[in-house]
Amino acid sequence: MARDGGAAACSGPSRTSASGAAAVALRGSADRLGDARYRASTTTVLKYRLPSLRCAACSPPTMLEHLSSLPTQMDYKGQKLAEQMFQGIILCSAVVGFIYGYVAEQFGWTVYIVMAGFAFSCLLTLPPWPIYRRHPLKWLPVQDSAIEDKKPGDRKVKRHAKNN
Amino acid sequence: MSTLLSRANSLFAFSLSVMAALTLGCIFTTAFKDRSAPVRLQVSRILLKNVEDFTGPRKRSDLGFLTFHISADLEKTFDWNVKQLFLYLSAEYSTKNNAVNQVVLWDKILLRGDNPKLLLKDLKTKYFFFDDGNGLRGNRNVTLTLSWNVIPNAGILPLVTGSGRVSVPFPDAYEITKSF
Repeated sequence: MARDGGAAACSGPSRTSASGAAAVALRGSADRLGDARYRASTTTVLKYRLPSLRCAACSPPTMLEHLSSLPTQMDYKGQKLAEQMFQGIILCSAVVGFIYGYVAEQFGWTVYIVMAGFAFSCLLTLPPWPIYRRHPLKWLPVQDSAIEDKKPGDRKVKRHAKNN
Repeated sequence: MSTLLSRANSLFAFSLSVMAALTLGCIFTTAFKDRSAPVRLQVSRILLKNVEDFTGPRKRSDLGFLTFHISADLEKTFDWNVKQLFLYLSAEYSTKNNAVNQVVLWDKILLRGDNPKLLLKDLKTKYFFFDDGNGLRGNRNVTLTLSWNVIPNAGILPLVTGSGRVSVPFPDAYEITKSF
């Protein structure tokens, strides 16, 4: 009895079982069982529904995944690191070049040293090395939003089945 | 900063701005430098002719031929912001037609890396020394000076006159060579 009640139940209060106190006592224990069964049944339902949810609500996340699979992507901390690095390299090469050119009395050396610094920083910051990808963005997992959307829907369906 | 091209763009623009700042620094290190140097000039021969002036109105004008020597040490004027020096020898005198006449007789381009210690002997004038009229005959005071234009890598082009000058009197008659 309790098992049947539990199996058929979707929520405790709406159950219409048999007589009085025994029913109440049974309902109490059955509630707990029923809750467990309810949770189990909903998870099975969710597992059944999950593939379709993924297909329906997933098109924006897949586009972003495709963009991030392009080779020139860096995360935000990586961009800041890259910018600091190339600014530092070019400023250092400019100072070194200025001093060397002044001492050697040739402005051409200054230009060559700055160009070398430019080439070095190109090599270091233009391709997306792994050091610029150490802090990737933490996207929310897809399942959380799917559960929030579908819970009232499940309840509605269950109520109809119970009434029938 | 999220695509390769925007990173390359900001990198290149930053390098160009840094390069412009360095060039400005180069200008400031040499802007107030004194570019003059001592010069020694000597004239060895003067010949005066009176010919028809083909460079202007066809009247007979005085034409002078000079042979001269130049010695100058221009090493101090070269520094990291000087690309070349444009030297020119000019003659200045006054006649009764004009109060001031200035004629360029000879010039030379001295690049960085060329020998800056000039010891040039027996130079002839490169350009015709025509007078506007007949004012060279018997002119007591024709002053030769060597000046130069400093051509920098970046900045202002100063015009400097060397400190030595020589004044020569011209002969009183035509077609007679005067030697010194």
